[in-house]
Amino acid sequence: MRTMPLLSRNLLIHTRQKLSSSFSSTTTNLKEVDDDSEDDTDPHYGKSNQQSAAVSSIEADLEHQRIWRPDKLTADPLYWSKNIVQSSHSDPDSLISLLDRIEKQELEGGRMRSKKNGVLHEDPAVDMRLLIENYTVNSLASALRDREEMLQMASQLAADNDFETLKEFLHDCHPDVVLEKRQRLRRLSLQKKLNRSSLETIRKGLMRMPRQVTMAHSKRAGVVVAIVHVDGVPSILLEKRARHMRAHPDEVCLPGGMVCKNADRSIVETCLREMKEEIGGFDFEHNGVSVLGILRCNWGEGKCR
Amino acid sequence: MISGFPLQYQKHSLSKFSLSLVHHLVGVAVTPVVCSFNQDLAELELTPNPDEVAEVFTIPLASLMDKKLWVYKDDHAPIFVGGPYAIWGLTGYILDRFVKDILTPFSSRHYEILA
Repeated sequence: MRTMPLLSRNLLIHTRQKLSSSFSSTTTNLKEVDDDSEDDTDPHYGKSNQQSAAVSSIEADLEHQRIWRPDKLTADPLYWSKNIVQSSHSDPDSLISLLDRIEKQELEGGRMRSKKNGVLHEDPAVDMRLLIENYTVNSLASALRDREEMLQMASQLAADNDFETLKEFLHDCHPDVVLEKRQRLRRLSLQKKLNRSSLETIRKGLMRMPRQVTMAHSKRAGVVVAIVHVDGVPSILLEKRARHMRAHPDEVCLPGGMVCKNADRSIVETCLREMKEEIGGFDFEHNGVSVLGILRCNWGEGKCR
Repeated sequence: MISGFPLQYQKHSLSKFSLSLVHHLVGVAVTPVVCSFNQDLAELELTPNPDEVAEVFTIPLASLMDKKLWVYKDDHAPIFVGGPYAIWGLTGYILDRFVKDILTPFSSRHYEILA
């Protein structure tokens, strides 16, 4: 019993490390989680199909869009025909102010948001998904055992009225401490000039993305996501294509172009060569540019059904 | 230069916008390379090549993070409306992925909303 707090502290740290290390090594899975969550909206497909089928009989449908009101002044049934987006065409500000209000309420902790930190993520659904998809049953079971032992020890401390030790023992579990630790992982501030460590954060993030490139494709192109500063404000550089271009005149694009098999030894060379052709004035030598990594977009890993 | 490929084709066969389709549509695999440039552009005279480029401009990273400036529609690549011109198609898709995969997971959560 004497060694209990120490032991449990170790367990706690052990669990944390395990969690945080697997968390970082699988951060890219966040993306997959993201993709999946987009997947959840897939019923759009079915819905839009139904919608298009329904378009022909839209008038028939409208007969069912009834509204009932408590005051029975009119004998005729009431109907609605426009959804909020359609009716906002006459008054666009109304929709914007509605969205603002919803966002404000959500941020301020509306009904949907309970102030809980979860294990890895505040959002309960995201938290569950992260846990299920990123951890083996073994690691989850061992984390569960750690928690169980911790609870039993905490209960024992409470029964012994040893609240000082209990407090110390549970310190790392305090919601504010958990939140603070989690925020330390998110140290990229886009408000001020990016320093070396924030660029390193981006580089590491890119490194963690799954590698599945596209060498198989016969035609390849590279584009540059160019992080620049304008008066110290981190920004991204974009081009508007010339009006006389044959393809996509006037459109906004990233610098870059087709891989030239003879001239380019790598996709990075393609990107910088094309960018030099398109925009003069950058110092591409003397460490003027650093390549942080490849944004891996899962080309070719389509989810078409 | 690779830019907004029209992505609205094949509506019926797509459950959602998928980039593999871009490859099938245009037959080109596009690799975005993320680079950072040391010089501050405020002091720099950039000279766009008039043969290809009408204009070069910048957009603050923080505004890319503002969800209100993005428009999402079925079977479209995300559209960013927070710049001087609409950014859509492949460029919109790439920037959206950059925001979601890199900027968002590593950014401080409670960033100040731009005034």
